[in-house]
Amino acid sequence: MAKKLSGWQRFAMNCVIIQFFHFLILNLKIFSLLRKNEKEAHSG
Amino acid sequence: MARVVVLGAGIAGHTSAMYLRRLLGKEHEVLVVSPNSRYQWIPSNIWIGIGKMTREQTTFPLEPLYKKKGIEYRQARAVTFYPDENYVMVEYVAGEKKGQQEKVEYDYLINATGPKLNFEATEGLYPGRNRTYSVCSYTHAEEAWKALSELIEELKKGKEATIVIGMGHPKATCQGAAFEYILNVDHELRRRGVRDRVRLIWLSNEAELGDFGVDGMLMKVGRKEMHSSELVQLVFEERDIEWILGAGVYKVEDGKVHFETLDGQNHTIEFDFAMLIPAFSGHGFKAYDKDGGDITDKLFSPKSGFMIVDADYTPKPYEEWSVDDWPEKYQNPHYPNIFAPGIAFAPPHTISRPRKSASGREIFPAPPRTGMPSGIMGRLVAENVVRLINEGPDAHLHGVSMGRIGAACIASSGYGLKSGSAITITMFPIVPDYRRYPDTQGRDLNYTIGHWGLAGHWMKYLLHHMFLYKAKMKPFWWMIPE
Repeated sequence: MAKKLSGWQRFAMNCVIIQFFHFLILNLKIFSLLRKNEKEAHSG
Repeated sequence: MARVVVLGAGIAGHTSAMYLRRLLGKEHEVLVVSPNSRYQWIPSNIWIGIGKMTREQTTFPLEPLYKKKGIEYRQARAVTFYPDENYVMVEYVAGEKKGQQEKVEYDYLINATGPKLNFEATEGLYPGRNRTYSVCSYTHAEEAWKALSELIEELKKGKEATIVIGMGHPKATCQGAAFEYILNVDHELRRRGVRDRVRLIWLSNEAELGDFGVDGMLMKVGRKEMHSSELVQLVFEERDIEWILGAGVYKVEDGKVHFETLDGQNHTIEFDFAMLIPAFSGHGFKAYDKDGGDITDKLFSPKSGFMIVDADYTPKPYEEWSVDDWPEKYQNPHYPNIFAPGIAFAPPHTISRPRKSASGREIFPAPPRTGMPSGIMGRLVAENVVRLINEGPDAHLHGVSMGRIGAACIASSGYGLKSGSAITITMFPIVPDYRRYPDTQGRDLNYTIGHWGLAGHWMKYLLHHMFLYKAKMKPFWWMIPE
């Protein structure tokens, strides 16, 4: 049976307020990945 | 006084040139040789392909920037290498000198020529012919949008259509770009009220959804662990996109794509519009010694045409592949003053498991080298060249392999400030390290995550502006990481 998003998931992925917080979290995650990359590049 | 020549002004080459100019004293020369007169932010070509951006928004002219920043520039393409004598022959592609060849000498050479888009490797595949298109460059993407918009007008009049998007060669890479494009096409069709008239098909050489040329990945999505195959399946089910996997396209005719699947069966699908990524290969450069002897094999892999670097190219079965096989310094072992960052270096092997069809055809993705690692490599190589210039041949060079860096890939699934979305995937490391992360399929789940939502679109849009700001060398550009 096809697996689709639930009604709540669909709402959450499009809700501006929820996604604003996700945006902040994504920025933190990507920034921490970039820091990790920089550390690896300068330690080798 | 040293002269550093950079071949290519894509993400890797342009990044190298920027850091070289920043870090080297004025007495040293930095020269860029590129056939393209414009820098293009390739990740946004997708949005040109659906009519949401124009070339003016995703590209800028190189010559005025380089002139302002003290970087020499030749609009030319590399033709032949003479590494024993430290020069390359280049051929002008525009202007008064078009067609003329020139000898360009160097002390250090950075080969950042990227891939040749090898459309010829698939019979009948060429953008704009046989109703197939590409989004690999901004000109191709413009052409794709023109054709797609014409199809949309016909759909509005009641036509029904089949659109096929995916891989145009059994060993093509860049699944991410095709994945973005199919989702953006879906979004645009829905926005224009014609999605129900279209059969939309993902045609890929991946054996499993979500392979992306990196053998798939286990990731954290929210607090859940999920494999990339599950995430992509969810996305395709949600968007009513069919998928055909393990497909090796070998021929395209007008409105028909022929492919073999891993079970050895041959298939044909008729389509009204197709976007198929071609195979990537080296550019077919030759290299000669002082006596005119052919030494191409010292610089370029006879298999792929990409440049040989400090990788372990010993042939070995998949089970013996190691993250240690991957290069760290992107330096040619025979000529230590020659480097190849980005897509230009020859990988030791793929990341995804190699597979053959029942008839013996190899069908599996080549390894991707996306924007983030290409930028990191471009910068690393530039910094190493600066060390060599300032400290001499015994300088300690830094290195970082794709087994020790991560990547963030933001796959747009629709453009729009309030209606857009993207699938954001970060992975660490790019090449899975099964020794270091034995329980999580070779990756660190603290840095390997997935997200689907509007926030991803905002991220991709922000990064579009941020990386163009950086590429234009605007104030404090160097503070923006690769």
